Amino acid sequence: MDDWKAAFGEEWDAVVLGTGMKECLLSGLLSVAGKKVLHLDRNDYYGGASASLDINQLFEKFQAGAPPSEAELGKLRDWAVDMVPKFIMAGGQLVKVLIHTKTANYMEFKAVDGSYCYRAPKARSSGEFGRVHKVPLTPKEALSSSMLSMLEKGRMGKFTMWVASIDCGKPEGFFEDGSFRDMPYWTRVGMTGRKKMPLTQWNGDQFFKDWGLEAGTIEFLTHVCALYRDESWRSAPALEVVSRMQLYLESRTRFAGMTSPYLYPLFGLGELPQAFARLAAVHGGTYMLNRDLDGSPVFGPNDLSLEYAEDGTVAGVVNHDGEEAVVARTKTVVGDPSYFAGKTKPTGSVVRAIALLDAPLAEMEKDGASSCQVIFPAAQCGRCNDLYLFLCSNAHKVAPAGKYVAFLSTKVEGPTQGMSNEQIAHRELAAGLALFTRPGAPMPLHLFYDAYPTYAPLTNGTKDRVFISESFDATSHFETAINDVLDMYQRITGETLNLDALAAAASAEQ
Amino acid sequence: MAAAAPPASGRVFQFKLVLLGDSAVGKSSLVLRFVRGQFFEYQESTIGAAFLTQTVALNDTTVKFEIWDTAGQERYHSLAPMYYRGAAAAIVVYDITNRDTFQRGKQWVKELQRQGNPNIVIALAGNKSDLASKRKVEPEEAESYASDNGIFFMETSAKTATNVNELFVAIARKLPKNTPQPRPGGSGIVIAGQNGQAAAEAKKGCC
Repeated sequence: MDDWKAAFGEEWDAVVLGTGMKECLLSGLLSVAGKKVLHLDRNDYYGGASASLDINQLFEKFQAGAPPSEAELGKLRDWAVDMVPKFIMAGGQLVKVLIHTKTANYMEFKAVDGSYCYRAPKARSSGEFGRVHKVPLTPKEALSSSMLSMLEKGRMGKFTMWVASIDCGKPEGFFEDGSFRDMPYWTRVGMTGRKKMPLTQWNGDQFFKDWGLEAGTIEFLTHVCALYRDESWRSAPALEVVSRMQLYLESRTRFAGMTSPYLYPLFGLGELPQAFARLAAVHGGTYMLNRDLDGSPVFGPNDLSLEYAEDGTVAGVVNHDGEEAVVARTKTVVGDPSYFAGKTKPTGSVVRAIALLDAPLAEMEKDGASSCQVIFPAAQCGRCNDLYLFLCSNAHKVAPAGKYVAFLSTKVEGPTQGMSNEQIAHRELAAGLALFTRPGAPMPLHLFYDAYPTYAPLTNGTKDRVFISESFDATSHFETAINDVLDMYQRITGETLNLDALAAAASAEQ
Repeated sequence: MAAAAPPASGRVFQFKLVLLGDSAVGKSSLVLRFVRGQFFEYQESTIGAAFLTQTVALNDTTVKFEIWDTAGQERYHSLAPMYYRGAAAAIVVYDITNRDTFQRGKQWVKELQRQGNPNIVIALAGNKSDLASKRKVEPEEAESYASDNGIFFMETSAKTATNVNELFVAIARKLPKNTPQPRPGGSGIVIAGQNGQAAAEAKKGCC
């Protein structure tokens, strides 16, 4: 403890609070840039809100009553249950960061087997259950899909090929035709020859109208492929819609043998913050979890506070534990919203259900998939926001052999006053939960419900130099999270992150 | 030095090896002695490398160790479980002149047996054997603890190089040579090989 206090009380370039994925990545990037970083957590484990819990931590968090039993759940040490259910887009920013920082070397990844889309039953009140379809994106998948009509199969094939072929950065014909100098356009070959498509002028609605695709097709292209959580694609620039679809299509072929656009780390997402923390430590970052030699906490849950200089900028992080306070002096504090009550605003709530299963979904079994994502487009569930289902297994080393862990999540839409998490989950996640109650469905061994508010900082931190990350949103991947980190890095250092320079530093270190 | 293996005939096996133990017991020094044949009296506590590699030639096979250093994260009891996850071998180091570090070493052995790879090969190393006059832990005690717990024990000195190569060679011999490779990849996707994909990716750069 004295040793701890002495180290804590030094002067630091930055003090980072919370070891969530975003904070660990920022620590790593700041340490690589030569900053002296102190990184603290009030928990005795890494990951904060983005940790993967072991089975005991999980049962404790949800007050499951009886302790987990090996007879029921298999080898208990093999469970690792994510607290933020997300997959990694193989062609996305996070993979770039993992490669450039070489943190990918610390981890192993495996592709997610299947990507599926939910369709509601024709008559919702008839007691029928919705169906889960494989996402038909390659021409071959499109041909065999029951989701698409015969005519639509041909149109879809043509459409996805066009999307994959165009270069969003280089509008075709931009320089050759003077009259279009101010209005870039892309072309496609239609019935009447080459057709100009002004993607920067059009919105998503106009774009899809032009292609004449069916409503159901457009729904899965925008929600499953372009990963819009709601109907905002309608007013979004068509170029954005196209580039989001491209990310999905490119991700599917990013590494050999992929059958979905997603990667997932062995042992769960909690490996990500740990890998970035190691990056920071390798570059001199100092780590202090709230754990003394004997495992007891070093300081109390509310013992950390901020100290400010006269000009209103932050001057240090104070640890009030014990008789005398000790101050980690710093001019920059970074952290997740849970450390900065009063400096954040609520942005909504996320509700989720976590199911521990001993069988996969029937649809997955048919395809031989051991992991999958199912997207439930909002309109199929009578909602405004999509529902996401993730399912992983022993193949990703997050469950014992023969066991599965499923996460259902969405943004809360209705009032929650006076409701239990279970009640909220049953209202908001009904379509997803039905997959586990329909006839022949795998009955969950355990089902946990959770609802939690999300927060964003009140200010961007450039005035008081307290930089707060946003809570993880309800998106199914990390793209928005990485953008938040890159933006914070820019605000903290005043420099735009140069991933190439990082790569050079990483090779020099090897 | 003996450990710098000539390109041996036969098969090459790669294993992740981690070092565990209290601060200042000589973990990094053991690695640097083994990999580079160097020793510094005042070794910086963090060596700034994610991991080092070194090969050991056995009769018919070559064992390539990917050796992970704690990067100082053990200092405030903040070593991430990821560190020893997937490790095929671990060297738990203590300082023979400091009894507390031996007790702490035992805790690490327990932690590895609880959380680590079930087939992990664990070596207990009583380091700083050159300081025998200040000894606080008798080799007999460590030996009997090791045999009770199914691990093996050696006293080493990174300073004089005593038993350093021997320790790694003994681990190399004990590692199973018939199971599929725990790292890298296996059936998984390797998104950044040290030289391959990562280098190609880095060249391509990012906008």
